[in-house]
Amino acid sequence: MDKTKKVIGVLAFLVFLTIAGFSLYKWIRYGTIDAGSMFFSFLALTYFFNWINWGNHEGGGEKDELDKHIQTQSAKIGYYVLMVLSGLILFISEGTGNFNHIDNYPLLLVVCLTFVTVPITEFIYSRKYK
Amino acid sequence: MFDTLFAFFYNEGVKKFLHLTKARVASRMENKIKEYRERSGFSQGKLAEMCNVSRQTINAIENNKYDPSLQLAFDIARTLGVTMEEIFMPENGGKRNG
Repeated sequence: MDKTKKVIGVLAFLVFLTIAGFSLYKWIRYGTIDAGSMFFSFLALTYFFNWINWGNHEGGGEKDELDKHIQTQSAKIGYYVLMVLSGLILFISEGTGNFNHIDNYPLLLVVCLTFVTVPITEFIYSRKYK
Repeated sequence: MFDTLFAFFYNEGVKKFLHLTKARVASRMENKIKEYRERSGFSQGKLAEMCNVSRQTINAIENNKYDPSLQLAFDIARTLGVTMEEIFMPENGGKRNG
């Protein structure tokens, strides 16, 4: 990675820290969660990791087959990480492990969709070869 | 109830995640690319350039961390002037599950 790329990577991380710091400050100082700054801080973090890994903030650019293999495996692993995280967020935020006591139905729906998405996708995709 | 949910999450998410991360990093194929590459006087970078891939890809294949696609395997063999069988050897003699 050349010097310019390193500088851009550091800048992207600084942008993330600034926006995340601002959200954190507003939360601690005023007790309000700013959804906008939360969204943009995660966007900055995405750009940072894409940049340091692929040299492109959107993760695009020219890729050979090893890069594509890395993307495929990461997508699979990332899916299960997201599944567990969504479940954890649901049960921690609701403060219960009992389905009857859960009120956040949109989040519950997201958690349910994380289970069913892969089997349905596999079913549809397998039709292509049968 | 919570135990059931935990078990479900563990089986669906954590177990599959661990399975993927533990899935063997090593390839199922052995190869003699390094030997033939050095014999031909090519560096990893040069061979990579001739096969239209990155140097890291050639390095990963040489170190048995990644199995190349059929197309890339043919390209490497053709570039090194050998047949596929000469540089790529399947593990267990090509028999699945030993």
